[in-house]
Amino acid sequence: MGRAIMVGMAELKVTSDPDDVLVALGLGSCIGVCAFDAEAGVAGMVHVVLPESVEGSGDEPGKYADTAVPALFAAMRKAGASPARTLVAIAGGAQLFQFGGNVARLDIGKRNAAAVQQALRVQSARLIAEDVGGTVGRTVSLRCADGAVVVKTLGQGERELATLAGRRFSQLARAA
Amino acid sequence: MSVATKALDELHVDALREVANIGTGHAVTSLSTLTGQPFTMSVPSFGVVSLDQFADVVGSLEEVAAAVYMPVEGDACGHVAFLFPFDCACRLCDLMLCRELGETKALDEMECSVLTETGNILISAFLNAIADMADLRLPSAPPGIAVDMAGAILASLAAVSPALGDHALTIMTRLVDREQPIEGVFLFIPEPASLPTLLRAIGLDA
Repeated sequence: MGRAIMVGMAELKVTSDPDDVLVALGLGSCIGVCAFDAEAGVAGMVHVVLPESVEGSGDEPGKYADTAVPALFAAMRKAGASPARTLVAIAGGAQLFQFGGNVARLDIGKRNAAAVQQALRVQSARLIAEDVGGTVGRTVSLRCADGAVVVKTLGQGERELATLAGRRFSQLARAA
Repeated sequence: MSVATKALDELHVDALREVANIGTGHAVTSLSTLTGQPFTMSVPSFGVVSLDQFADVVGSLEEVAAAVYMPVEGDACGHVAFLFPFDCACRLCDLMLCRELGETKALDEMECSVLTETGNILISAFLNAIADMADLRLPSAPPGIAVDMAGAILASLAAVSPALGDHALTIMTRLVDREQPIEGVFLFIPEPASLPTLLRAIGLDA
């Protein structure tokens, strides 16, 4: 494994060093958005915390789905990636806390997932794989060398979600 | 950063530390009463951390932890959680279920139920102490539990507060019975609008 670059809450990181691996540790209700342009060799990840931005908050764009996704694409473009070639995978958006008979509270994970998906649609982004929802936390990593997206969960270990390269993806792959 | 956060100067932190001491003191007394075990408690550290530094509260973000969470309603809305590292959660289960020390190896349904109730008792006592002292109404909603990577739990807690970038009071708590210490962290996250209410209630102008 290459050099791990941590992508903390609300952070956005872009790299074109093939040795780099972008990692978002312990995603609960947060979502890790992974983007990769294989031809340009540019990888980007943003660690989304909440669905919608608060106007005039002065917060980092990476915090909210509606600002994080455009910011990720802008940063990728700046690093030489083409939005049309860029493939995207998302992971996270779980509901960790279990309430007796009441699961309606703390549904931020679900709202985050919907907001990220919507923001990606607005960007006409090519979302090819997703592992969202459920009740377990995830660690997601994106390998810049080949665009491999690996999701690690407690108890289930590591699993490759997708490789963000090539043209063989005609439709959205969903996590089993 | 919100206005409420900027107002948190040293004096406020001292006052909140006192609130935290009283709250955790009551919580531990109720645990002793429940178990019939003479617990002692120390608060080795107390801090006000911004939610994006939440991760520093635990050693490793991928380490397994158990957390009981309760939303606080009433006069000062917020969130309270009690987070235990996995081995401490197991020890707490040993204690509550009258098992041999080290017998609990996994946190399944039974153990989670025990932890939820224990967390409920600890958090309720904590809130009651603060409510009494500050003369506030602080009812809590039923608890939820999570056993997962500590980072995922903390991030989920951070996200429940709409104004991230705000601060949480973290109270490292060490419960000690005769055998081995059980460490846990109280996290008290007042909603941004509630912080001034709390400060005013304990006699400080926000």
